[in-house]
Amino acid sequence: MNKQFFFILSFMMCIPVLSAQNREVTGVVTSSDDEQPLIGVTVIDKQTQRGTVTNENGEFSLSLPERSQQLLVSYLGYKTREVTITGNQTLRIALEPDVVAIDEVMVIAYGTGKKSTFTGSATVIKSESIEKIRTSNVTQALQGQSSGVQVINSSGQPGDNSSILIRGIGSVNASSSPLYVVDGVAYDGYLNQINSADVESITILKDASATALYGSRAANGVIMIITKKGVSEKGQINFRSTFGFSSLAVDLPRALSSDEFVGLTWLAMKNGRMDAGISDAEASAYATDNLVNELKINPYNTNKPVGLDGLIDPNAQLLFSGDWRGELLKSRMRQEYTLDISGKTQRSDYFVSGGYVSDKGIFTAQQFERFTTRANLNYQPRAWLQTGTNTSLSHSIRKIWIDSSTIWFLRTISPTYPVYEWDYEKGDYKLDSNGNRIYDYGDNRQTWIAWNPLADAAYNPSPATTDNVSSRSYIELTFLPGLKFRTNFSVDFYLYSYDGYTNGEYGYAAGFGGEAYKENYRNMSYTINNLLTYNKTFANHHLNVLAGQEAYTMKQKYLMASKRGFPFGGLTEIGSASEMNSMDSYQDNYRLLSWLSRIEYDYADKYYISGSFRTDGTSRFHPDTRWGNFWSIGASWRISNEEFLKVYPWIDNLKLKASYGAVGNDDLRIGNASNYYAYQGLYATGMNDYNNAGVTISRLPNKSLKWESNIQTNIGVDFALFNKLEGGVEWFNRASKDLLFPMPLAPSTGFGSIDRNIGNVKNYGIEFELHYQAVNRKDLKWTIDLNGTSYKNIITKLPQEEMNSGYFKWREGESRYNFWGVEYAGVNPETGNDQFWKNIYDTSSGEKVLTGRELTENLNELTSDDQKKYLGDALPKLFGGFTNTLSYKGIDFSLLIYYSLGGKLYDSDYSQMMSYRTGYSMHPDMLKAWTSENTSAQFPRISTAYANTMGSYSSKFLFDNTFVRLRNITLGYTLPKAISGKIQVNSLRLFVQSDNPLTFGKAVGRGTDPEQSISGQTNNRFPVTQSFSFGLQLNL
Amino acid sequence: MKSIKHIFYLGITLCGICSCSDFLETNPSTSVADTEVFTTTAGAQAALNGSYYHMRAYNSGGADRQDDYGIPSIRLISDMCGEDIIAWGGWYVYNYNYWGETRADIYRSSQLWTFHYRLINNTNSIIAYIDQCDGAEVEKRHIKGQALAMRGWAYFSLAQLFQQTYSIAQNMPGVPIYTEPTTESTEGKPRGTLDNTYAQVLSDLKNAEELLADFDRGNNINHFDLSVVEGILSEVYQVMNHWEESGKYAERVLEKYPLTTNEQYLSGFNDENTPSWIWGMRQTEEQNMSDYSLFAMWGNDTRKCFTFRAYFLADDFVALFDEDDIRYQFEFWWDQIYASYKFRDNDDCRGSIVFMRSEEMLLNVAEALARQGKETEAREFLWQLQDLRNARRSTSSGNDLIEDILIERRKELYGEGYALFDLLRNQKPLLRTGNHINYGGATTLASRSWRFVFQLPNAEMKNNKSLVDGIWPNGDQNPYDGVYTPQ
Repeated sequence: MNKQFFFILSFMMCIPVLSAQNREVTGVVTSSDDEQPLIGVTVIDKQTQRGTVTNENGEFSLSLPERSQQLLVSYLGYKTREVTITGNQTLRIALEPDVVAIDEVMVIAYGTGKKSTFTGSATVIKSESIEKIRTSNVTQALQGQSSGVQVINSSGQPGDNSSILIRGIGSVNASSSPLYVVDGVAYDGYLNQINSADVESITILKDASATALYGSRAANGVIMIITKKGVSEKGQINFRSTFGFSSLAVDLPRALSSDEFVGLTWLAMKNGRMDAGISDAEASAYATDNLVNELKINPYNTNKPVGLDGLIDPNAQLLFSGDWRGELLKSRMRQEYTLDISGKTQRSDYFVSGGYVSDKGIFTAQQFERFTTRANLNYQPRAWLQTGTNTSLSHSIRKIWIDSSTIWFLRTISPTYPVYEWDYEKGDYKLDSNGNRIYDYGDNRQTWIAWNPLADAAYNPSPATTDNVSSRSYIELTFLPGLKFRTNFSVDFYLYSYDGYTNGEYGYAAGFGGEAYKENYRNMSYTINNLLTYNKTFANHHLNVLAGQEAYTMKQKYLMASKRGFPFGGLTEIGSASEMNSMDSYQDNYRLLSWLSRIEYDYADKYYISGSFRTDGTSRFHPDTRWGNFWSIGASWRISNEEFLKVYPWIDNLKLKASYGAVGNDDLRIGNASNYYAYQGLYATGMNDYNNAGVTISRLPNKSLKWESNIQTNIGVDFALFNKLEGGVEWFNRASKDLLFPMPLAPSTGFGSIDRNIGNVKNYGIEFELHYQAVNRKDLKWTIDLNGTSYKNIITKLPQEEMNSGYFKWREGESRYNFWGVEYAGVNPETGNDQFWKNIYDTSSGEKVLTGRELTENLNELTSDDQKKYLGDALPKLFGGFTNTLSYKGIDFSLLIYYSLGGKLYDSDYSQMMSYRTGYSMHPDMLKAWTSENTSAQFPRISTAYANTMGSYSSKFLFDNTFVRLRNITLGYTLPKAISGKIQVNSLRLFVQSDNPLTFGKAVGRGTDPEQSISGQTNNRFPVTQSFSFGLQLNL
Repeated sequence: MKSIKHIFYLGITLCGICSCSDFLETNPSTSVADTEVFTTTAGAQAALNGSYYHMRAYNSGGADRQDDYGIPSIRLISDMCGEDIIAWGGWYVYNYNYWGETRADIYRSSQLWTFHYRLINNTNSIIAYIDQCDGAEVEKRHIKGQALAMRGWAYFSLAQLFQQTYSIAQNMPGVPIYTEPTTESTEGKPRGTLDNTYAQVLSDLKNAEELLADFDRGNNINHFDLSVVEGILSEVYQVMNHWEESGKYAERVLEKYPLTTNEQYLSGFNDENTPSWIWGMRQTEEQNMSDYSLFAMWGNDTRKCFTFRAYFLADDFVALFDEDDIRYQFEFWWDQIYASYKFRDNDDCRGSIVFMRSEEMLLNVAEALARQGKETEAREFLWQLQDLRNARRSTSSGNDLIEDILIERRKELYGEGYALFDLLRNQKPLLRTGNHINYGGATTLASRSWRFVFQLPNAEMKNNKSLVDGIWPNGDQNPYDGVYTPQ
């Protein structure tokens, strides 16, 4: 101890003397695995804190006093080394790759932090992982990449968002979506306007310690998207292009052929007659005679295509067949090009990029086209002043948006109905004056009349254009070393405009000469914040303090107008149409005012504590309730830095952490739309009696409405061992309270419900992440990543004992997505009808006692609540991702698997095809339906009369939805330096990849994609696509 | 360095300035505070206009479907439940097929319930606050009168949909009565008896009758004026079997409105300027039922816009007409089914819809007289219509005469929304014979079947603390099935 003291003392006293005697220390830094020089390595003299970085050849030179003995050599992705200065020769320093990267710096709320010391819970997903997934919406790339995060890519339409849940469903009736933060500030633009190639990393903040500084919007976690900046002094030029094709990831159920469909229709008609008490022979005759009327079209050359035996007449010839699938779904091209140029100088850095995507999806005329540019600039004009801006512009056009009825159509249209009009006399398709076929609008269909999706796509181009400007600017002043003041000014602006058009020549609008329908959303939001930070290290203590103020304002304006009646074809603008059809406009304003602060303290790199506090005032609530406080505390203990563990050198890192805090959720909703004025008692305007302005009651006053709050606990352990294995396990508990519930009112009061803060929900579970560097040799590298999450959602308090919500019943102590309904009991082998279990109650004692159950074929007997039974939970038991990355010399290979185990799916996409309905085709399973010859069938007898169970919900169509999906597989080849050097490029990589090539699960067999909604329900969604692409990456 | 300090202080000062409290006050742009509506009669009139709109508005029953348009939807539902029309596709077809649309857990019952009670709550506010508004007394009286008429009509309509008919079910549960605007603390009301409900209906309509005596609705065919109120009173008393009153009120209206001429009868039932129309609604370019009005449902291929070509006539019903009856505007299509040309949309596909016309009043008078045994007078009224339409005169008497009047009602008024209410009121069975069987409609139901009566929506049973959640007689819920035997 004394020795040390004197040592330091003598140093201090010597400073003025020694500093005069400098010497030149030179060295070269290389990577230990391939001995290549490392550029930009930071070399700092430990004694004087003087430093430099290595040049292009990995060399550095420092002028240091004689007393300097130790250099700290650090470089991102490599283990930091302390090097002793010896003699005068050039130092040769080899850095070992830091496989476990424990000292990585990560972006956190309002600042940065070190992964190794962070007290909260967060996952960083780097650009390499994001770039691998071929997507036009960066959120889709997150699936399977982080524990605790459930990403459902339920739409295959190009550019669509995925739905993301972080650690369960924190709300019931308010939003459950995370807050998106781009470059430090909450983002209000469209997520599909972000160019994935601009993204440096995405940090997912999961617990209160990480998110509390986002206060009233943080309850569902935060997804921070950080864009790139220039890091190379030499400058970098990157070019990347991909092109490829898509198809459905899970094929739709096979379409019944005309013969099959007509045969089933005949059978349904016959059985329907027999259900009405008609004899077998008479019923058969009726079906044969009236079949063509039931179809409304006759695709055969004979009037009675089906004989009395139910078989297609051998003489019947099929005249035409509508190949709807083939015409509507085609494998179409997607191409993407991105270029970026970046670099840095002593005082500035820059990143400039441009990108183009054209994603044509798989549906006729579908397209998502996007142009993006970005400039991220930072400049330091004075030692005490720094300024910068990240600004991006994007412009996108979406050609067609396919709604659920198109998918419903696609699933249930029979080839009996032609795509083009058929001329019976000619025995061929009708042709127009130009010799083209004429689209059939279904005058001869029983359903989907006056519609032809193919014709709509051709005749009614209705593009939606989005223009997005997003800017993040700042000025930072340094008053004293460690004391900084920063003002951020951010703007998100978008203009969405929809140019709807329905032609006046064909189809639905032919009666009124066509229609133009224009719609605009203009959204402008600003965030201004002023932040003061103080950073101080003294002895073993390190302190970091943040205090700030923030104001946010959003204004959204909506304008819509529609007119009908064009004088002739080819006109699409409102100005050309004659008759006013409808008009509307409104605006919404939403504002927040906040104060925020955080203190972080650590001692000796072993003990860390942090606390944060934010006060938010929101325009969404009544003045009496609009202010809320949000806070968190967190602590971590880096055990591996304790002396007693230092004897185990294989322990690179071991950290225990815990946090606790409260965050909020102000995003109350009406349906899917944000409700900004939920507390006010209102009359809605526009309820006009023709031209006389009218109002009707729309909301009861509700002054006591307030935030939903979310108390979050997180306990975890992070470890890194053998410089090979890194990982973490965390336990979390999110207790949401004061949840907004529509407290049901008797509908006879004129209101179905009134919103109250009366519910509590809890999500708790465990998540893990493992990163294993299986092989790390010079030529061969293999890493394995595995993550998984298992959580439970429990309702802990409800406004009443139990509530029905669609297919679910909410009860305290149970999941919010628990299916309750009548239990299906299979097909009655005697009648061929569906059977259900009916509960028998005895009320003779005055109390309702369940005494048993019996089978019934009549669902109408089972409408009351006491006939419902718990049928399963929609939420999966375990989900996550599994990634393998392999590289051998220039070849790289990776695959990502997403898995979701357990959870139920109510498959109405399937059920809508599992009974006879006039004009709708059916699932091939219906070919195996009950008949008097096949009495052990799994599917009930088909009948026109026996349609009373159709659409009625029971356990019949509820299925286990375990699935595994090969999310991505990529194979790449980087040209050897020797060759690429010759053509003046740094590196050139060629790759092939496939996204969603394989899906396993029961749903696949039904022709249903297993990725549906979080609530386990299908809704004729546009299914997920699979794709196959080629690409090249060029670095100059 | 000094300048930096100044900037620092300036920044701190700026932070303080930003934090004014008005910043957080935002208001909706297309809604108004409830406290601002009832300050003047103009505001009250706007609330009344809103209520009129509600009576024909999309989603007024909260079902958010194209068969949720208030009164025109109720009328179509009623027609679907009768024997005369065949629904071959199109909308309301589950009502036609009796596939369980009256069930407590199907949206339809909730749609009907919600539609009426939202209207009632809106009218309750008008009635409660009109007196405190600034404005002329006469305006207040007329606004209040119309609101009362609406409320009376709404309770009457509810009573018919949600309970067996009055004459056999006076002491059965009625519908919950609210006469005050709903607030945060309003509790659900009990069903009371059907007698209580009709007492409210009569009280509201009688008050309206008084207040609207000098009210001129101008050309607003959808507004309640004295004639509409009298017409509804005639219907109410008819259901209550108070024949004298029913006849008296119908006659009062009949004095003011001529009968529909044959020319008018054959012109498609789409013109609100037809002199015989007492109550109805217009469709305009801005406010219309799109392709979901009755005109788009009927199969006669006369509409210029889209048509579902779905509603046809049962052959048994067509057989009731003489071929030279001017109402015999039928064609036998595809050797299969009768198309009717009664309802034809106008050129803009925005035809008006009739809710009440003088022929109904005439038939109400005839029926009231016949029920009172005044057969000669009854026949005179009936013949007036039969002669006009070139139908054979009925010469029967007693019960047969009443039956003849009811058949004439069907022939004259089919498609105008009377079928279900007449079945219930007259305690008729549903006998769907003939070609109904080919369209899934060969349902037979006994008189007083509960299948004619909607169950209260589940949400009401669950959330109205004044109701006992159980099937009558053990609780307040209507039975779904079975036959009601009057006590």
